[in-house]
Amino acid sequence: MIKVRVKFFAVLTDVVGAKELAVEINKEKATVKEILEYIRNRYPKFKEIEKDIPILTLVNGVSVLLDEEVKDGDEVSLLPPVSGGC
Amino acid sequence: MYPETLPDEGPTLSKEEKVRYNRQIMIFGEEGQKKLKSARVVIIGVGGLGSASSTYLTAAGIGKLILVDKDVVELDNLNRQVLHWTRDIGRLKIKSAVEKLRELNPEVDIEGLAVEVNEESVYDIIKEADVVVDGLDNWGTRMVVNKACVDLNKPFVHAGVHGMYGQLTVISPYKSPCLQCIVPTAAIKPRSGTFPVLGTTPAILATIQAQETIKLITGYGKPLIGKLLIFDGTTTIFTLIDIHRRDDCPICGVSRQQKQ
Repeated sequence: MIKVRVKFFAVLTDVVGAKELAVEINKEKATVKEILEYIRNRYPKFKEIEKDIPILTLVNGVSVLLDEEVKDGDEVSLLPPVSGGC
Repeated sequence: MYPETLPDEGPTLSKEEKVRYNRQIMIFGEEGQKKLKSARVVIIGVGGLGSASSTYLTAAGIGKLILVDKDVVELDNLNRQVLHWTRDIGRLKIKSAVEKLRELNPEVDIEGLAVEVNEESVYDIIKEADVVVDGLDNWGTRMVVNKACVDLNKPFVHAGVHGMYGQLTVISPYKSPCLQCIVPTAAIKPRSGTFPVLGTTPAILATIQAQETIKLITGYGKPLIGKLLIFDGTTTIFTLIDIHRRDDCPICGVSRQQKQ
């Protein structure tokens, strides 16, 4: 089993109702995609907001793609990078 | 990033300039002010972000400011693009902006370019810049500017906003993550159409962009390099997170760096 800390920023905090979650996955190793799947299953609003805002995923501060492996004790940050400006 | 000391033939400050910039000369000295005077800054986009960043950079006495925007002012711009007023509707944004900024500070050489920023035009636009400031409204063009800034080794001060949220970072090519490292293409879904934004959000982010630009040029303080500032205006919380370069970044990753 692996346990990771998932941190949420900006609008994602509202969606999940927390700044941080401890996520346990009953596997030896998992991918970022599986962590997102775990959150989507528990927070339907997260799935909704993904349609509108791209979610940026960082593992221990490094921006990663969805197939990145996550290990026990890692910190996963989920951010909604926004693109407006004009 | 910027020469530590200016050449002897560097600019001098007039009596009037010493008075105009007195309060900030108290921070970084006449030497810092001279660095600002000899600097060229390119602001891409004169909307919500660009209105605020260009105003503060003009007031601060940047030597040359180049504003790039091909759009005209529309009524629904006016809640946030505070350099453009009701009377400017239908005018080119660069004309509206340059006119007011010149009046704010005639010491600054301000140029407006009504050109589209794309893979061909971007290199010419930024080639003489000491710092490039992001005032864009989409990831596509940001990535074009990001790549050009990495290729020409220009610092790029990024900000983006949506609603009451925003983020900001200073990209120092090959030292900090570039925009492509931070937002890899696969994670971006195209957005289109209008997006919500409260006028104060771009103003908050863009005044910080102006501040970071001034820090880069004067060498005073510590620019936001390798850190991403996340702003949540709904709770007024600023969060800083450490960000790192991606070795496999197609823009600034290891393989491209070796070619440099």
